[in-house]
Amino acid sequence: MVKNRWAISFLLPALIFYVFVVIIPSLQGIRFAFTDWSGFTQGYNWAGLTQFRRVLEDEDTRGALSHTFIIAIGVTVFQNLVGLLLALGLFSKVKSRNLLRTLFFAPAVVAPVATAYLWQYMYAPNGPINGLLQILGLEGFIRDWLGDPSIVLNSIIVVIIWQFAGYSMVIYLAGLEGVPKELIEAAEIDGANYFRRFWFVVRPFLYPAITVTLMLSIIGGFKLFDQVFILTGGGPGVASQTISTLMYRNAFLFGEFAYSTALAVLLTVLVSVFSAIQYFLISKVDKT
Amino acid sequence: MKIRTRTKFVSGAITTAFLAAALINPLPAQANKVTEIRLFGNSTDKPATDAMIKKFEEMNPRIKVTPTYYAVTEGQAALVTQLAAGTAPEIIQAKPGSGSVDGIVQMAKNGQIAPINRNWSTLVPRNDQSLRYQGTIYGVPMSAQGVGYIYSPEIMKKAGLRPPQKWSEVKAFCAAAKAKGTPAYGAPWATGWPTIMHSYSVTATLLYADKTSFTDDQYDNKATFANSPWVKSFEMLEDMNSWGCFNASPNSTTYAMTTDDLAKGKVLGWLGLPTIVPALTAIAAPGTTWSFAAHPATENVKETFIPSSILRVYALNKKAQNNLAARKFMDFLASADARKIFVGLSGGIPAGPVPGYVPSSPAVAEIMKYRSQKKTFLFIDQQWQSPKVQQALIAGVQAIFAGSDTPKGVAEKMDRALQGK
Repeated sequence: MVKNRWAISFLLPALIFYVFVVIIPSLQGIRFAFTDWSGFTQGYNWAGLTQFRRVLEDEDTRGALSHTFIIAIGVTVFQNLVGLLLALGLFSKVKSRNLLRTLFFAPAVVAPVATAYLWQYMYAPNGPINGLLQILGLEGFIRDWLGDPSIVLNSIIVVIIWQFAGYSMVIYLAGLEGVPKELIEAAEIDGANYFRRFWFVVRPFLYPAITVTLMLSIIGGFKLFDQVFILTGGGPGVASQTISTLMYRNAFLFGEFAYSTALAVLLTVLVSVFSAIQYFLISKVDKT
Repeated sequence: MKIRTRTKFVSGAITTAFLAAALINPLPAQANKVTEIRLFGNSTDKPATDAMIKKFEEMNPRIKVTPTYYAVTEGQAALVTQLAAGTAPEIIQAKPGSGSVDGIVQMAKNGQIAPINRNWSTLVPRNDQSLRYQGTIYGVPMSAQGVGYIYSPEIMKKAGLRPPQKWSEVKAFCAAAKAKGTPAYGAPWATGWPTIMHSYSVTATLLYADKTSFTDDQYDNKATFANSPWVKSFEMLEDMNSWGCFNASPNSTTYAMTTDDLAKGKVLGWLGLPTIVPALTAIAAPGTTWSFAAHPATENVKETFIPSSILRVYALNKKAQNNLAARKFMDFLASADARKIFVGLSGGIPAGPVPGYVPSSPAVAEIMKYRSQKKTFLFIDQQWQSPKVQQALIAGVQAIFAGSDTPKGVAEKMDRALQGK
């Protein structure tokens, strides 16, 4: 009881700050989703579920929703796969492992806006990627990376993986540190190959790390804004429009703050539901 | 009675003494007090705005103007947020008309900017509604602009070509430019707003020159984009693309890339605004000049109209903290001195009379010719009542180039945006 009181007294200042800065403004913001507020005037009228009905009926929103899902799933799967592979590779006794760890993690500390501008240059029609393909005689692979609707989402996903795979790698490395060496050695003596050692010995110890990185990448994937906005602005046409860029467009270009708030509520629900499902599934596997 | 009179006299004398003292010998702190006003400007016009501010501060040493500059798109978002929060600067660079959330008409309607009932009506033609809301002027026009083909006569001469004057000449012009390894037209569609230039130009000639009330007809449900020359304008754009008029991958090309390519002669020209000229001059080889040619839409040169109207405007924030100083700055902006500085350094055209003005480039001189011949029609988005129409146009042109939409489809989407559906 005394212990709890101490704990609460330490938590309280941060909790009060969080409630006033995050929780209360967020709840106040949600009510605007049920109004017709333009964002420019003080006045507004209650509009019930009109904005949410519009969300469901709007063709652009449906497109943005599917793009958001594709990006979130693509980022979650490949960022974790690449991060895990990097972690496994750099968990070895390679001499330059510390340097390589730093190099792979470095993009994660760069501002997403700067990364996006860098990749806009890389993806430019006469940029380094197409230039390299030409030098290598691979002209057939030259693409309009950000201008072709059929590949633009993949181009965006690659940028996110490039930036955050190193971040996942660090979390997986922390997880790998927790795997008892004796168990790996025992499995090795028993003749288990690398894959079997990973699957039956290492993997179960990685579940906490997997839970954290999956959750972070799924949340990041769903609410992705900066990179999409800089790289494509949601284009060409609306081919890479996501819920976040749509929120921005409707609020700041069209003056429809109420509709944008409804989109934000939808995004919050999506992120919460998917994070919860993912957490539940991983926890279930972890227990077995 | 006597006492009351004496009291009145004494208090009157004290008040007079205080007032006299204040007038004759103001407090040193007040004498040196500098009032600060803030300005929200477009980064493209930074050199021009900085020069105006410098001049104003020389004339008014007790007023300091602190500018903040933003790129077009980011600026709009920042301004909207600041206006909603009540923290926007006193002086706001805005857009004319109602086609965007930072348009003069929209902001006046929302009560965000103050009316300006000064003797500035000479600066805003009576038939120009882009700076008026319910008959009152809400903005000081700094400069006008026109859309056309921006090119360097020197680079063009070296290529042995001249800009087309008739629509039928465009194909051959593009083919000849392509044969020399230089696309005829830069196409920075990735930036968004440059996508509108061709359609604005072509419809000025094919549609608005004769039907100035077309937009009103649309709002009265008597006309649509889908049954108008707008569809033809998109088809012409498709033709130009098939003729190899544009650089590779327009949807991935940004305005900055095109500016660089144009200055270095990697593309022959660009269909846009002469606001690009100062940037081109900074990058291009010394001595390179920049000219302007109207974008043809028919076979009759005399029929060609160009889109041209007021583009750069300053407005006064209704919640201006230092209202008096801000109004003084607005007065200065309306003066011939300020507008001369602005148009000279921003590559613009005087929106009203500026005595002694000399066009800053041949491009500007050419647009002024069209304006004096009254062969212009305003930037049509200034008449649209929602920014969604222009956004549908931008996304539509990108989609046409990506092969995911058709001219008719884009026009129909614009119709839905115009009708608010």
